[in-house]
Amino acid sequence: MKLKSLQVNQAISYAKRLIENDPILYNIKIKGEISSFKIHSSGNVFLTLKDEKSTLKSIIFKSDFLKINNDFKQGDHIEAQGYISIYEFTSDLQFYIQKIEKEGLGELYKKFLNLKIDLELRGYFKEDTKQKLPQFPQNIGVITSETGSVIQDIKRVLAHRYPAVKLFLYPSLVQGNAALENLISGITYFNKSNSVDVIILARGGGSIEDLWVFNEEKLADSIKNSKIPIVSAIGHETDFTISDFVADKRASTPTAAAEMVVPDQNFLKIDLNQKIKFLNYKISKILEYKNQNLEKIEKELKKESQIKNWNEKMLTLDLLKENLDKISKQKIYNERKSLDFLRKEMVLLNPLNILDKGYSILEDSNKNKIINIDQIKLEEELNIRLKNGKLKCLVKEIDKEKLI
Amino acid sequence: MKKYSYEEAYEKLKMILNNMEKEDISLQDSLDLYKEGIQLYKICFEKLENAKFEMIKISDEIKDFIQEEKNEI
Repeated sequence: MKLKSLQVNQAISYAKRLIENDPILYNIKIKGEISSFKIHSSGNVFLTLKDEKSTLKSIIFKSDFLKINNDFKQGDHIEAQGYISIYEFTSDLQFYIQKIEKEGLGELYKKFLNLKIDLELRGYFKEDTKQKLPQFPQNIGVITSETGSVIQDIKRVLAHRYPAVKLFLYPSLVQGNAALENLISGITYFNKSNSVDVIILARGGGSIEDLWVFNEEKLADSIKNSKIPIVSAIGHETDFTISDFVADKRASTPTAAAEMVVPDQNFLKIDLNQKIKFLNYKISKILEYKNQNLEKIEKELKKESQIKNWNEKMLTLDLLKENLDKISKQKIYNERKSLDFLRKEMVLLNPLNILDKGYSILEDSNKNKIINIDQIKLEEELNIRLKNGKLKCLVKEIDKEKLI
Repeated sequence: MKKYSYEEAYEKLKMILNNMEKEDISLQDSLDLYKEGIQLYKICFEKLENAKFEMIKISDEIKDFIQEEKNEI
């Protein structure tokens, strides 16, 4: 069988088709070292990957390169994902790279930790230098991707929770080489135009490389220098970036950031209603109080008309007082008289006064008073007390006879 | 009445409630405060009730304009 000859291009096209339809080459991950690296003026990137045995021509289109994090240089070991195809003009077999990861994630993490320590020492994370979020913001700036769920989440929360705000979206890349410049421009824009009360810097979840731009020192500087408070909401709850630490507030997710920057209108309405109830209560209390005061004054006025009456009562009281004086003086006089009488009685009864009148007191040797002759024995010693002395006597004779 | 932001109106309302707590307030003053309080309440409530959420996208032209200004500095 005689072979039909093909045009060069026909042969190459056929080979290209075969390769592109291969299920492995269509989506492949290749690791190797970058042996050459060049960014063309068009923005497309040309590089060569190699290992010990082979080299592979590779290309990254501008649109893909913008989405890739980190800078690459000759000598870097990378892991790239894309497809293999043939460039028809030169018949070169080429690797069309769509994603690149640097080998060794540990290095990125180390870089993150070093920067974190450095910035911490320089006071970037100090709470007391952070700005307070406004209580009732009117304009909110959001710097994030204009596509994707992040901006939708923020919009939904704001519109529902506190619709009295305007959201200004600054569309920005949030990953890849161009993202850093974009994000910083966003912060600069809001600060220059001074159009918002608070800024949300947001991005959905991703790997440490996807989120890497939020670990860049330049972005940290920009956040630090912002005169408008910034809420950082990068990735999921477990993701922490340098931006989160520098920002005035960190929100665990973009949704949480939206909830953080505005009050809940339902609570505000409840609060307003309580305030108005209190205002009503207060004014009714004041009116009641003023009314009571009036009543009091009225009563006072009525009393005044009774003053005449009162004066008459005072006169009566004076008379009564005079009488009381008289009565009490009489009583004191009587008391004094009976007191004199008692004093005289007392003088009469005092035994010492009896001795004055010539009587004496007879006592036995034990100082018992003798008032009965039967108390005395013959030859007993007795004492006799006189006004001005004492006698010791011996009984010579006892004569029991009544004196009278 | 002057045009208040929600925050201004809300803060003023709080101040009025404080002032009405004073014991020696005159009847006229308390009535004036009451009237103002009601107005401020209405301002706040209407701001919440009539609010319409709005999103504005910063266009590339505006971005560029700022960028150029930045470059000039």
